[in-house]
Amino acid sequence: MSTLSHSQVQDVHEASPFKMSFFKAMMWYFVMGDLLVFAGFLISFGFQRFFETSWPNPHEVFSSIPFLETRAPLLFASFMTLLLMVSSLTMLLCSAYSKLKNKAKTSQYLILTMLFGLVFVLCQIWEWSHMFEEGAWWGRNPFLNQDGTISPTVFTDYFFIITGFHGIHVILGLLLNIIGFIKLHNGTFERTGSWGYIENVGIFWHFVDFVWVFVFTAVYLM
Amino acid sequence: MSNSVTLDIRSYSARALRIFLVIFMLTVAQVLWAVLLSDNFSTSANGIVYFILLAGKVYYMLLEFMHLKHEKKFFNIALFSPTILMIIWFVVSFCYEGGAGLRSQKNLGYRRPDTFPKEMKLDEKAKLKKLENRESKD
Repeated sequence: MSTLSHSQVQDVHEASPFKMSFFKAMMWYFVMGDLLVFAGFLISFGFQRFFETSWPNPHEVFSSIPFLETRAPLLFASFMTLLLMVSSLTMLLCSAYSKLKNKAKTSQYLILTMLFGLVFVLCQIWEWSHMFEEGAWWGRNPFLNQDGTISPTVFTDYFFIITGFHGIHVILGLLLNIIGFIKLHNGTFERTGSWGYIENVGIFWHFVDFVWVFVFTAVYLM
Repeated sequence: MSNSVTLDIRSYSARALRIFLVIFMLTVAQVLWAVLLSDNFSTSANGIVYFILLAGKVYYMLLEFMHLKHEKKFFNIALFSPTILMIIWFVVSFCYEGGAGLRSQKNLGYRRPDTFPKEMKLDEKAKLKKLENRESKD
């Protein structure tokens, strides 16, 4: 199997009307397709929300904090948002250093990104298990509406589906980052001369953060 | 050529940090609005505030974090025009459908089947109201 040299790859990029690598363009198209799937979930969530005259107050439902008895509305969810935002920043710096082919710094920021992502996943696992302990699961909704009536189970159904689907994306992003880390350290990027993998994974990682902005607004805030 | 990547990493990092702070402040504003103020405003006013703050975050994330500002304009158009058109259609049609569901619930007394036990699905009062509506139409 022959591999293209970096200058050949560069020529291909220059020939493309978008002036970008094939993989990057395809990553963007994948991300857009994924965005539509998330849009489907979030809009159908909105549809169910519009359908109801009353809805559980998310500020009360999502007010627990791990290892503490006190409750503070949205504090833990905001912390999770912060984690993803910081990981997005470190990923941005990681891909900037990968463009400069700085192996040490790229590796350093990649580890930070993976660390923040991992903590996010752990937070989500805690939140799910906490919701389960409170009696919420697919088809079970212990939370009352704001007007005191029984709430439909779509509230919890959509919570678990949307955050679960997002969680799967975070785990997938983590796996892609681990692959990137392995490639970085066994010298694949130096051998092929192409460091584009890190940038492409970066796009996916930013996308995960991007979608969380919508999930956070739709599920936790509104 | 390949090694001619020039990137002033110091100013790039400073800029990235500034954008991060903007997104962070927008998120803080969103959360503070949700926790402290949202109860005093109508749902549509809340929706507008959330939408504006969300749009700010989306703008910075897409253009700066995901580097779309530095891509070819034609690429952005090719990428976003179908997606945005689809999502606009999606939102409008589902808001319309959801509104119809709400109206049917308010006017006809229909409740979601899983909300109440079977025998309470359509209470007598709502049935009467439904009949009255039908009669007044005739």
